Amino acid sequence: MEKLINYETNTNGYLDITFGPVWSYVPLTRNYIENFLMLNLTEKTGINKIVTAASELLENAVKYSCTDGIRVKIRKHLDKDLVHLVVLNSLTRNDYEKIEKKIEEANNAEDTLEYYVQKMKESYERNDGKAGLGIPRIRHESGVQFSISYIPVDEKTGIIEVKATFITK
Amino acid sequence: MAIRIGKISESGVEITVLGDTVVFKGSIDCSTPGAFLNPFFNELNTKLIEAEMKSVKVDITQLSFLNSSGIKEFVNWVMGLSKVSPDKQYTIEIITNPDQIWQESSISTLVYLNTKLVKKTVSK
Repeated sequence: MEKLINYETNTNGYLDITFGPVWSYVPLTRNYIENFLMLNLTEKTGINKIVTAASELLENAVKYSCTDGIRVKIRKHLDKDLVHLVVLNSLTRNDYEKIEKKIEEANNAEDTLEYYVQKMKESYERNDGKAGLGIPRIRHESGVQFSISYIPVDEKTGIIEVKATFITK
Repeated sequence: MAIRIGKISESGVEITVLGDTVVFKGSIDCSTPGAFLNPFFNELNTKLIEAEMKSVKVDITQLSFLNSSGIKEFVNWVMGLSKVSPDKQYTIEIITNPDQIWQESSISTLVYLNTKLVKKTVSK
């Protein structure tokens, strides 16, 4: 069974949702994740940080996914006060390389407020309709760092996996 | 002084202008909130200047979520205000709800963009 659904053991609470890239499923999934976390955690600020991060990452996943299927996994660590958030979606290699640079920039930001404010100012100058504020928002509001990986499917496309770990109570 | 702008009801959010207060209810989590927020903030800005108002309140106590695309529209409004001539500028007071936990950090950052004209207050 574990292999069949790729279930992650060694956990103190686990949620795994896969859905088609339809925007209206993002708020639906966000609400479900929030309810799940409220059963497993007590500190509301911590829950809110994870929920906001999940929502922003899922929005990006729906925006940039090149084929069907968005997946989000939330795992509460068995022994430590940690929650792991993972979002997966398909992506072209070109888009992955762009996102990889953005993640690297976010992770390297020492003053996250200054970094977020700078991105807000850049957003004001943009005319392409994009905000580019999702990753900076998570980085500043949660203080988390991201790890990403790319699993090639063919020459042009693959699966991106974005991970963030939150310290919780 | 008061301004008149018709009520907006779009994609899970309701925006009402009552006197000198803009009230947001619901959640802003659609893919392109700029489609209605951008024209709304433009109209609001124009009418505030025309009416020579020196302050406006933005009540988001009943706004349960604001995604980063929505934040961009607030950023555009706040940053655009610094381009208005000083004699026509107005202050923005954003009224937040401590029970809506996202508001503390998200709105504090917005205020940071223009601390002279934008302030955050917590609803009692």
